[in-house]
Amino acid sequence: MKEFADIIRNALPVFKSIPDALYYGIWMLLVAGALLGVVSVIAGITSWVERRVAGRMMSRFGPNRVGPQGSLQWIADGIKCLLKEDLIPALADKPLFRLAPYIVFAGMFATWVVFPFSKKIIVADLNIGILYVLAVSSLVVIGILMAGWASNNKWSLLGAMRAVAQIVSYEVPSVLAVLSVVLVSGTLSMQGIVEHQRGGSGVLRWNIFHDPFLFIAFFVFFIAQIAEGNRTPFDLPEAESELVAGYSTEYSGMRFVMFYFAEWANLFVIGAVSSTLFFGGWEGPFIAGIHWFILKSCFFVFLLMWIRWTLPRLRVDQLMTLSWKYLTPFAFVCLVGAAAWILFLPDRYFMGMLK
Amino acid sequence: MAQSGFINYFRNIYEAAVSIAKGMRITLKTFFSKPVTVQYPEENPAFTAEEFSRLYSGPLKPLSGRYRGFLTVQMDICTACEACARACPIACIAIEHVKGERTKVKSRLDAKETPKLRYATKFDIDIGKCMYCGLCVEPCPTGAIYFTRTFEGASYDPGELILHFVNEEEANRLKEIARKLEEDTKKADDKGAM
Repeated sequence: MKEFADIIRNALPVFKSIPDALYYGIWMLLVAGALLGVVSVIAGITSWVERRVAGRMMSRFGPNRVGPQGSLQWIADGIKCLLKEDLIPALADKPLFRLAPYIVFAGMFATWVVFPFSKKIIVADLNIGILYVLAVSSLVVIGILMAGWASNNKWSLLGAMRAVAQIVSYEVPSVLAVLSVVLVSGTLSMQGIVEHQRGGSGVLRWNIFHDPFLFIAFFVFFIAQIAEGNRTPFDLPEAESELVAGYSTEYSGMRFVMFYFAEWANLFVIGAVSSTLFFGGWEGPFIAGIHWFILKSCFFVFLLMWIRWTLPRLRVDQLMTLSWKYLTPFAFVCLVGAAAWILFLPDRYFMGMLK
Repeated sequence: MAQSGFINYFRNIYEAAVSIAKGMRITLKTFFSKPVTVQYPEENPAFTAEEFSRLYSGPLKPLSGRYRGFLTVQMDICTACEACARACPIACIAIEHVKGERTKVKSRLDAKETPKLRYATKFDIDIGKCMYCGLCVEPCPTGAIYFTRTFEGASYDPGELILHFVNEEEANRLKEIARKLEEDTKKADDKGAM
């Protein structure tokens, strides 16, 4: 967005007299506000879509009373939660309790900065883009642990401990899978990764088809991302049949919504990162652009919902087995394989069939 | 486990992938099929079959024609024979009757004619007690008492659950007729005696 800000500044002489810090500061606030709006709407609509999808997958309707096909349900729910009483337990650590949901939300929200919606639409094309995503999304762990600890409640603390153990374990295969993409692309920048997947052969240049190792890496990455997002079948931190609601047990009103807000928006984050790394981002057949990015991300959002309403929850030991015994070794194999691939078949792509 | 750990390891992965695919196929199939839910107040299973199928497109069917809902009585063909009240195992039917003009009524079921000379002045069914056994329907000579498909009768007052099939006005009218008839017969009897 900085280029765009510069263009406006150069075009309109009025802005030239404003000092740099002030001009860019205001610009940053505007962009952040716009992005927050987009994220809120996406999270809200996702909550409605999720409930509709869940309904249809169980042969029922889901919410269909508020607005056409229930499409305004999320607004009604948001208003309801805003008006609800904001309870804080008497023995809770009040400042931490108040702060935790916002940290969780901030950790999720900050990743949106580097998403390449299209060639021009990106808040900041950092040269360490994907590293930034991985780093910032780890902030969620602190928020969750903070919420669990500050609630001073057994369920909350257990849920938070589980969440932390889970996210930290799954960070390993997730990062290793991302690393194989970075090896092939030769860059950490999100735009750079997308650019690498462009070319004459269109869809065939996508990273997922690049070589067999990246193909496996995608599944490793995707499974690890589901686990990091605390989604069913990895929703142990919230396991309602065991832990009431896990780390969000003591929360009510708007603070409670913040957690779920982050979870729903996180669906789109997973979709966006997956489509950028493995499915060519905004690149696609016919006209490349924002629509392809949105379409691919929405497909992954649907896939996540589909998985959620199909699979039962894992046990804690199974969760750890999956991470350390299955995903991590596979991620290592993929990393070494991808490295060997670019050493021996440097210019080949589409499973080595095209040059 | 006879197999080596290594083979088991890959078998686990294979089985996980296959069973996940199986499960996801099922949920996708359900996703594209029509919801079963009947949107109740708008789509009432007590509607006629045509109307119900116009509103609702799922796999469920409306209530059967033989559904035992609330009892109702068609008073113009009721002969006040009290067969239903006697048949009722919990005595939830209360009938009082007077004599009236001798007429013939057609059965609701087979159009057979039955003589009618008694008229009910009170025909109450306590639907709160009724257990929908259908024993009252069977002995009725004219098919006047039968089940409807109505099932919505929730009430805050148990008294509202007593269904009255003869209103007070009608009862008074019938009593008046019966009184006149009695007077007439008395006069006739007196004449005959003289």
